[in-house]
Amino acid sequence: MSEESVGRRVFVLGEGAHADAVIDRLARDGFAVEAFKPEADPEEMAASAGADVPFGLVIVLEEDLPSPAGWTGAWHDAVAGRVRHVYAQTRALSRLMMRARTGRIVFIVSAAGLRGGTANEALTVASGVVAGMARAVARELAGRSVTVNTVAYGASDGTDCPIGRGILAAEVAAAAAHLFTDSGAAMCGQVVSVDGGLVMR
Amino acid sequence: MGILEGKRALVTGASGDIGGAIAKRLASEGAAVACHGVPWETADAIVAELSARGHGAVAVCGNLTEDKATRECVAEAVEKLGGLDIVVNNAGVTKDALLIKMDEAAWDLVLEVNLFGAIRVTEAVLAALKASGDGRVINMASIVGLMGNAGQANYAASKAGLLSFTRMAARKLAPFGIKVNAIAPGFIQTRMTAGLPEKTREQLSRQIPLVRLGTPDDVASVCLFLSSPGAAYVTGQALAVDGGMVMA
Repeated sequence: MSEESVGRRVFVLGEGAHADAVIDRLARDGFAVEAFKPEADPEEMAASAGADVPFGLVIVLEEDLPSPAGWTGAWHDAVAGRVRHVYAQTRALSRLMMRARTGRIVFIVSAAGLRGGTANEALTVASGVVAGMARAVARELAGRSVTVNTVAYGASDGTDCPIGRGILAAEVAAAAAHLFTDSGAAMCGQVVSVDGGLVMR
Repeated sequence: MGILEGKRALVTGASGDIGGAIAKRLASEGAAVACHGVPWETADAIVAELSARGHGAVAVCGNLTEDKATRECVAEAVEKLGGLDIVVNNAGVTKDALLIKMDEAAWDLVLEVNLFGAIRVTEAVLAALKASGDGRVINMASIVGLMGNAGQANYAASKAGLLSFTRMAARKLAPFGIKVNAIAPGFIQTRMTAGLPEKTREQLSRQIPLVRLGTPDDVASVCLFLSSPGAAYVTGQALAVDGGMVMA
């Protein structure tokens, strides 16, 4: 726990191992973490913030995002629906952060989005969409001292992993946690890969 | 004899400046080209131009945000050309706004056309490209998908998603001999960028190492390469055509 983080609010949206690990880690770091479902209503969420504007927002794309067969119909609806939530939730919270002139936004996506992995096709495309949106929003908010970054996780089962093991959710959460520290304030518009070397560049 | 003699190509958004230049370039190298347009902006003019020059060209029309219209449009192109070897997913739109002011309609439209439209078309052409044995899919991304841009959260998201799809489809379709690549144009002189004030264009040019905006032909010639026999061992790539704006 550090002084800089004590009591600062962070909203974490998502469910599953990565969201749980981020909630756990940020809470241990002293943040006041509030958890929301992936489909949380943006306006209700913003209203719940009240006058105490959250310092942080984390939105997690679940590793087990449903990926129906094919590239249209149910598959399309899964991807389009998921990323629409992310866009609307980011919009709602970034309005508040802009006015507060401080804030950190972190998206947690799959490194398969960078590499074009085929194990979960919906997750691959959704991850690319969210990382792309993040770069545009990073440029819009940087002037208001709001930073936007993406953390890309490798597969928890170790698929294709150069270091030969699954990537722990806690390892992903640790990278995200750095982005909420004072020493992480200069990182903006980046994709930080915690993937055991899956993507090297 | 052109390097695409006997090849059959579908270019979506051929009514636009870049799409039109691509259709002309592929046709001038011998490909028969299905030029796609939408009901409110058809590709009839470009088809008339190509036909007048003696090239094989047909017009197809359909709203790529709809599954059924996309399937019918692709089926018509395949039927008229007798198969398909090259698909250029070029159709795209912008609807710019700062994120805090961007409404859901603007988000949805840009993703539905630029990302899901390209994916719909790719799914619809799979059987024809598998039958070709040397299928090519070329997705028109953008440097905005690589580097982001203020006021274009939807556009950046759609193009970055298209780059992820490009790599994924390249892996998945490689066993069928289908190569999937992307082009990431920078600032190109088109109707899409014509609305920019002169001052903005000047500022933009200064960020471009080659100190000029690109032309639709600059993009078309790279598209020709990715369509050609010379690119038979290239897949899953994104080629920036941007005068050096993004170097990575």
